Amino acid sequence: MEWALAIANLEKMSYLNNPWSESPIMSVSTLKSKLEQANGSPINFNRLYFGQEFCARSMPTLSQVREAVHAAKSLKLAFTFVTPYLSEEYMDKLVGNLDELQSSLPGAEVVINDWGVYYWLVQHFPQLQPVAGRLMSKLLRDPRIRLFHKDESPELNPLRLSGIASPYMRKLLQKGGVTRLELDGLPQGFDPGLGSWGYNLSLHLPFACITTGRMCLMGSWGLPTDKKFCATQITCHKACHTYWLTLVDHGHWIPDTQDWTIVQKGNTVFLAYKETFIQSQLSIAPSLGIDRVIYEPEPL
Amino acid sequence: MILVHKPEDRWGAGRMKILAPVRSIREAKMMIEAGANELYCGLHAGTWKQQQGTAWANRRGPGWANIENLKVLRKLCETAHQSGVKVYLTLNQPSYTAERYLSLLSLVDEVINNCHIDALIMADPGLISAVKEHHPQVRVHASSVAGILNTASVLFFKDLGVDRIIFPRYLSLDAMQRIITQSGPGLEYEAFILNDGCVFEEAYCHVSHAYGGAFCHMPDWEFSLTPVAPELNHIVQESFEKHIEDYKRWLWIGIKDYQKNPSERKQDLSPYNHPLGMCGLCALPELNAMGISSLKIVGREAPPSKKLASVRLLKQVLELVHAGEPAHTIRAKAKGIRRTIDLCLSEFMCYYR
Repeated sequence: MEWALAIANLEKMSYLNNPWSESPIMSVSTLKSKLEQANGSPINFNRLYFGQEFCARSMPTLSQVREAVHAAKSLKLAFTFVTPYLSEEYMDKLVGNLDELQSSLPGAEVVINDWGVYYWLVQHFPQLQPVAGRLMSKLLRDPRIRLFHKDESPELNPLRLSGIASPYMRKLLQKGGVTRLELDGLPQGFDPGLGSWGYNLSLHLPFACITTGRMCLMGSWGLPTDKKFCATQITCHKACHTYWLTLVDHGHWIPDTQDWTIVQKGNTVFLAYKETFIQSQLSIAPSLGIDRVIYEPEPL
Repeated sequence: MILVHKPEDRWGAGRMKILAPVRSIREAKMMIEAGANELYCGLHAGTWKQQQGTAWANRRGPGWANIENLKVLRKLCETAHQSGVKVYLTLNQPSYTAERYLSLLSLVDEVINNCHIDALIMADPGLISAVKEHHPQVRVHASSVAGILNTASVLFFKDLGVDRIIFPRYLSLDAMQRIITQSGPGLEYEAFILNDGCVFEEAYCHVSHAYGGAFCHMPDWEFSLTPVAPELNHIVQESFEKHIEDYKRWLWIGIKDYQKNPSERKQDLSPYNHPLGMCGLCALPELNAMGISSLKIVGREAPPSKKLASVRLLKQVLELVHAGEPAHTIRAKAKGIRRTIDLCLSEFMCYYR
């Protein structure tokens, strides 16, 4: 199993030295111990993921990409650049980052989560290697699934499948050289036939994206009221770098479970899987064809 | 077969068209009578629910907002075409499983052979490829659920053979203008104009409304702030609590149509019989100038009264645009017609701000 460490932005590069530093929302030492048990050996990271999938406003600058590439090279880590979905205003910045990456690290992986980014990458950056990101499969990650379907219900089976495994989607992605697909852990569990989907597979831990959008709850905080909750907001004070939100549903639509909590960072809501659930997912990962785990201390 | 061009279109090229949602022939007649130029609908395809479990054929539940069968769809299309109005069918889940592609292709065969639908609205690039491979002549509209937010994405879908791009909600007018300019000729563009909002980006929302409704605005969410490192002081906490109050007000106005909890009915219409919910009327001059060809009224599941009021309101303001009124006059008159000045001033009801 290949292990990658994901760092969303340059402010969090200290995770390179201490990937298992404690978090206010989970016990990282317990998580580490469970992961190592499931892995059967201590975890050594040999790849750096830099960037994130969720927020164009938080996309790194050119110099930050340069610095991250330098850090990866000096630690002899392979490098993967993660890109978000993004509206037109952010394309120039992204293209600048890809220019830099292609010239400084040809062959580097770029995780795509937007068909436009995929299109542009394939057309203009042939020396970069596209990877289909975890927002591309469109698999449901709705915690309420567990209220509506019992654990072994056959109704769960279609919810474990994705059109990304269809011959048509594979053809679209193979045309651009995509061989790897990233996945979040799923409340409904994985398709037992995942290994035949036609991709090398990566699994993100411990967070799974429930939903994300350009309107940012945290980014609006502190703005004049009439400027709040606006998807086209450009400036951002990056409250997501400082705060988590914990979400609790008092209406009981979300099942009480020991498997996860629900958290929000910036514009994105996540399932934060707990140690035992993660351990169970990881223990079956090799049999499903998953050959890379991406550990992210903070997803944004 | 698919009807590609209809010389009897009610309005000529260059005029923005009113696109209204329908779920019955009766509604179609009402919308056409009120001034709709295009209709869109979903299809409850008999065996679909059985095949899919809780998954949906399009973005609405099987028996809730959809045309009941192909026979009704055919009749609806005939009715619309007699008035020069086009009909589009949604198959716009963000993704379908590989197995579903086969049943969808057979559904598309039936729709094409029996119903004379004018275009299919789809989001899944795999399904678009499959449909175009089997039926190259089919007109395809790339759904807002496809998440087309930039020029490169438009070019990707253009390569797949789509004919119209439906812009997702809340793109800036500048971004839309740039995209249209840079994407070259040969495409139509559609923009949201009235009614429902979404908290998150539809293309990247991994929940299903089938599981008890919208996840994002369930009424009993509590948000607790947890700092990554520093202690939380009371000033920060109070500021955050006030912010969450603003957020809930935004949800209430822009997203939930004044519905405080699920047991309460949404307020569909204002006291002046205009639809409540998100609105882009003030942006009509810019949308017209940039070349938007179709204006989408959201809400296949909405009651007919709201759909009808929406078409009437849009038609009233659109007539000002087509009459060449200056932008500031159009905006002032739109607000005057709506008579919801406080809501307009809050900007929480605006698609484009």
